[in-house]
Amino acid sequence: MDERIQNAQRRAIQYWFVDGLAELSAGVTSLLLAVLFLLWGELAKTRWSLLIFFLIPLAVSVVLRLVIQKVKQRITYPRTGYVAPLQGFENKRAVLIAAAFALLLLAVNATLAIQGSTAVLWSSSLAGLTFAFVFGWISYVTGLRRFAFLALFTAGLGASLGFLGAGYWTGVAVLCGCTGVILLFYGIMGLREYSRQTPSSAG
Amino acid sequence: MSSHPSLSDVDRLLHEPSRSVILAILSAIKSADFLYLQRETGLTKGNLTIHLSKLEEAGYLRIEKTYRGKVPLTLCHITPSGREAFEGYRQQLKRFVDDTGG
Repeated sequence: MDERIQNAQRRAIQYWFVDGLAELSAGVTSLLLAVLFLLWGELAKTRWSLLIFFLIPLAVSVVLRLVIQKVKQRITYPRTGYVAPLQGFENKRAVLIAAAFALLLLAVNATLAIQGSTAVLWSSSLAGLTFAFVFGWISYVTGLRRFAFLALFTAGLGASLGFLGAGYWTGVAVLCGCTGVILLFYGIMGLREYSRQTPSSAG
Repeated sequence: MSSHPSLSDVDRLLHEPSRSVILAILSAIKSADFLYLQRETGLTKGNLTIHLSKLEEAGYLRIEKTYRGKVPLTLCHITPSGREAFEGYRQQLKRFVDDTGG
């Protein structure tokens, strides 16, 4: 009985990954970040560099969110129904995780600042660990193994890029690019399987 | 004299498998619509409506009729007393399983 209850709760939490759209959205964002990081060398010469670096991903994420909502209304809600997640401080665990993540990022940046220019070479490793933390947490909460693979992949790739001496911008660009490609693959396969296997409700 | 583990005082409203699954789902999220609950429980529309009504009468559930754009939507939310009752039921089950060596 308890297993049935646990499975029901787990499936509810997996709802946001059932149609592949979350991965598609994250994949597009990741690839965009990869392009921005690669172009940073040129962008940094302009006076609008910081604005471009933050505004473009923000604008794209807003547009993506609207597009995803439209697609969900056409594909997901008629098939699986609608679920609203716990938000903000309703979800105490999410708040704790977000706080831990923020502290991790702070520690990463402090490490880079203290170490100076030599630490730049290890930035890819630290970025990889940050990605791994996020994907590992998603895998733990949802029980979806593909995110555990992504966690291992990003940690390994980040470490490899650090050992190879890839510069910060190039290294993080490669990390974001590879992660984006995998996420897009997950998203496309997920959406295809979901559309085929989940019939639309007959009203 | 040792006490035998028993489920005699368990909440009968929640001891019904479909209703416990409904509250299990709602305790993990903010709200879910009728279609999602129907798919997850495998119940017919009529049966699900009856279970939801019983849970609402007991104050464990709140049903909200709203719209998503022009599409009517029936959203179900677990109430604080529903969450408390469900957690208590779950603890009771766990104790029973542990006491019987399961």
